[in-house]
Amino acid sequence: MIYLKHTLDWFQFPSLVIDLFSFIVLFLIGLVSLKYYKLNKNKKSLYLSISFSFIALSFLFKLLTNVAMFYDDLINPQIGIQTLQIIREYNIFSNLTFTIFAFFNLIGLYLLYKLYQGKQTSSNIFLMSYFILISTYFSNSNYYIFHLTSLIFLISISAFYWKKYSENLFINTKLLALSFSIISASQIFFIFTTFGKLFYLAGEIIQLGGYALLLLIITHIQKNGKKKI
Amino acid sequence: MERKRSRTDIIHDIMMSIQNKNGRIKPTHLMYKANLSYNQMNSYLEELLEKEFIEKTIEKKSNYLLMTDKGFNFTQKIREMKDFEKTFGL
Repeated sequence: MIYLKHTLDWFQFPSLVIDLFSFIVLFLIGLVSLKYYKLNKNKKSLYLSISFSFIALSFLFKLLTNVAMFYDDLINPQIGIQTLQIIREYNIFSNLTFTIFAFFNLIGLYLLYKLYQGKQTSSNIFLMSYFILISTYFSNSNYYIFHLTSLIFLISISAFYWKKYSENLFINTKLLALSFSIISASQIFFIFTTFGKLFYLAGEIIQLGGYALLLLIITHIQKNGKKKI
Repeated sequence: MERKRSRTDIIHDIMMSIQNKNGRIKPTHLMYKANLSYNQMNSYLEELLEKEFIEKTIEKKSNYLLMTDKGFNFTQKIREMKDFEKTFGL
């Protein structure tokens, strides 16, 4: 199995910056949620923190995969015996980091999905765990499977947030639903990456928009807390 | 039917009642504003005094409760938390 290089050459570095930004936003939400859990002991805050931490951690592995690719392009201009050895080692490394990225990302999304679905039967949990493992296993050879699974989870989570917004009419919930819908849309572009690197570029930029909106929500919450009297 | 207030909700209501009265309120007024029984209020006030979120003072022979800076910061945190929970539907 070889991890395919999906990004355009000139977009490699910006792609790393986007991944780092996504990691920071997700980690921040995980941290804020944990802080509130310590304040009110609401278990849902703890589960939310765990979900976002898993997704954040997954982006760290995506970053590692892409850093390896970026580094590989810098030090690897010509093919030689030594270079072939580097490529082999790089493939093992990138396959491993990509697999961990896919696994942690799907686990995080599943936990987030589960948080809003209420209590689930153990057979349901078993079935979902099986699908996550299968998706992770085939994601290395068929890149789109991972993004298709992510898309399904993200659509369900977005639908929940839109439903919540129709109940509470809270602007932050609307922004949250919008940001998850944007991130869902980005997955559609990632699915078609095999047809052209421009799809990856579009996916990354759309995803960046989704995470930027998430950051805006968090800063909005913190600012409102200080403002209201 | 409205859900039962959590402990954090009650503390938030107490602190907001004090804050809405410019950080200074009579205990009897607080009892009505925060919708608490006398015993309930005393139990919460004891904790808030111990944590130095509020302090007692006597002005013109009347007891008053004052919100401290620490209490003000805590109220801010609770407001942020409630906004966060509302946003994420927790």
